[in-house]
Amino acid sequence: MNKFRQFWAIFKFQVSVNPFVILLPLAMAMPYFIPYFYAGKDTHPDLVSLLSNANLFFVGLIAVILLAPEISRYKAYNAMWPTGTEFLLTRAVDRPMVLRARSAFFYFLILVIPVFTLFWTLKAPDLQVREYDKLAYEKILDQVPGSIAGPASHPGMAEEITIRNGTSLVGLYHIWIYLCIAVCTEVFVYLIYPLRYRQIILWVTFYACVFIPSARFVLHTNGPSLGETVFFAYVAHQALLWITAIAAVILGHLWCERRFERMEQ
Amino acid sequence: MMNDDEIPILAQNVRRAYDGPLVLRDFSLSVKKGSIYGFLGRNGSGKTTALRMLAGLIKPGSGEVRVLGFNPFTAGAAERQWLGYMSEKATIPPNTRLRSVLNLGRALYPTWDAALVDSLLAKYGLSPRRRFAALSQGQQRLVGFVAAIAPRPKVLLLDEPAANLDVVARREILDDVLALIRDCECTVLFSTHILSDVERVADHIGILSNGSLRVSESLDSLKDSIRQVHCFGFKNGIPREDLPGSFRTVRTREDLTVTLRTDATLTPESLAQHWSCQCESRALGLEDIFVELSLNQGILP
Repeated sequence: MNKFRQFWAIFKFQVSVNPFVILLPLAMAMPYFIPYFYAGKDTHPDLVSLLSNANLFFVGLIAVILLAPEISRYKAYNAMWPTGTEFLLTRAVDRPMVLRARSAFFYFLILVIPVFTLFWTLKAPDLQVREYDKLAYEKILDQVPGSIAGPASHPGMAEEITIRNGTSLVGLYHIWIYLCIAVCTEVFVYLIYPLRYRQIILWVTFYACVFIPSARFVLHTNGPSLGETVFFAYVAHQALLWITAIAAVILGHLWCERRFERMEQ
Repeated sequence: MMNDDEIPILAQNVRRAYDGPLVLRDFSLSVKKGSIYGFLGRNGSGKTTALRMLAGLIKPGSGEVRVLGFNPFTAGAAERQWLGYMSEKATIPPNTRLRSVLNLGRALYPTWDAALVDSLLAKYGLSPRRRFAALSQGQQRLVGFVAAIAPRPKVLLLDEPAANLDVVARREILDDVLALIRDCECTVLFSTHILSDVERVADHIGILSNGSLRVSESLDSLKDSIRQVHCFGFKNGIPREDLPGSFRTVRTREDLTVTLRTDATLTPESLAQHWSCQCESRALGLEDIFVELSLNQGILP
């Protein structure tokens, strides 16, 4: 049977099974658009909000809904509210194709907003950044190419940094970080899938990933945030990190397919 | 030795456990092409596990499972298109529209019979626009049945197909199964607790007990061989000891009723001669046979 036809049939079925998950990318888009409308059309979201981890938990959420819904819920709930996995696996399908279609839908949902914002930011490529942390301020000027210090736009506010083509840089960085988180999540989900306490492991890890990076706001730690640190590393080795990320996505997914093929659901 | 074409469903010495005791132990089954095999057993006897294994959802712990000559767990789309399966529980997500399920089937199966689907949906009064959540449990089972039968499979596995169905729908499903057999020599294995259904459609039956198949033979042969024999007019008094191999013996002051499996050497006539009495034998219905076997032959859950 034609593989693409099979893939496309499962993909469409997957969308019909989870019609509401399509709304999650809109929720992901909120942090991008709120500052835009709030501050007026000439101002872009600042670097700090763009680099925050606030959005990344959607990746985990979409991953468990799409890739392995049965591991995130109690067995009794699965019996009452079937996920469709058993139905699909008892149709005329190649087992890996089920995961391939699910993953394609997953990556589409994760990347649709970052890719859209990348194109949207091309309209005004320069980025104005207001950074209050002195160490982070110096690191931006030192490590981000095209960054120029300027005066504060309003009295009492931090001095602004203008980064030439900064919105595109951050937009690409965003796609890269979502890609990395997505492949890590996919591999993690299928790593723990056969484990007995997979549900507990999944949710403990999920909440740890959401809340631990935010702890710095409570602990008032000085210096660049985790997101900014990753961003500076990204800026320094863009080509290498992109190649690594793409390779990780392909190899990680192929590993998941092989595992899925051999696993009982 | 028969080949895969003649024995499309085969399991040999299969063992399987779920985090504990064995659910299937040395389970062996062979179903001949074109037969309708009724799979019986008490609750928890391992019927669903066996069917899920044959459908390729779970792997055997040890032993071998073959459907149409292939391993159902590792089979690809090309092989699986000849295997139809209907689960005992709802497996289609509630938000899904019936239309999406039909579109999926049409895209995946080259042999998808759209005319059959239309006629079955019309017969069962199901609209493709409806979501699963809006269907009753019985209607959901009907959709599961339509999705299993529409590809015109060579092997059809039905796990409790008649559960939650009203009498009319149940009969209609059984008639459709029979029609499918007539049209394409499909082999059907179905589990059920409704023994009247088995009597209506099955030509072979298997009784699963404690994870292994205790009985597997044609329905006619089983009904012919298991008899209830009423013995009376004993010349030497009623025998105190049970007949070896008998299922159940009920004694009154003057007569004795024994349920047993007859064969060439053990017949009502030979029994009358052995005990010096008169004997009348009667055939039992499948339900009586199942109960007799269950209560007195160690047929455990």
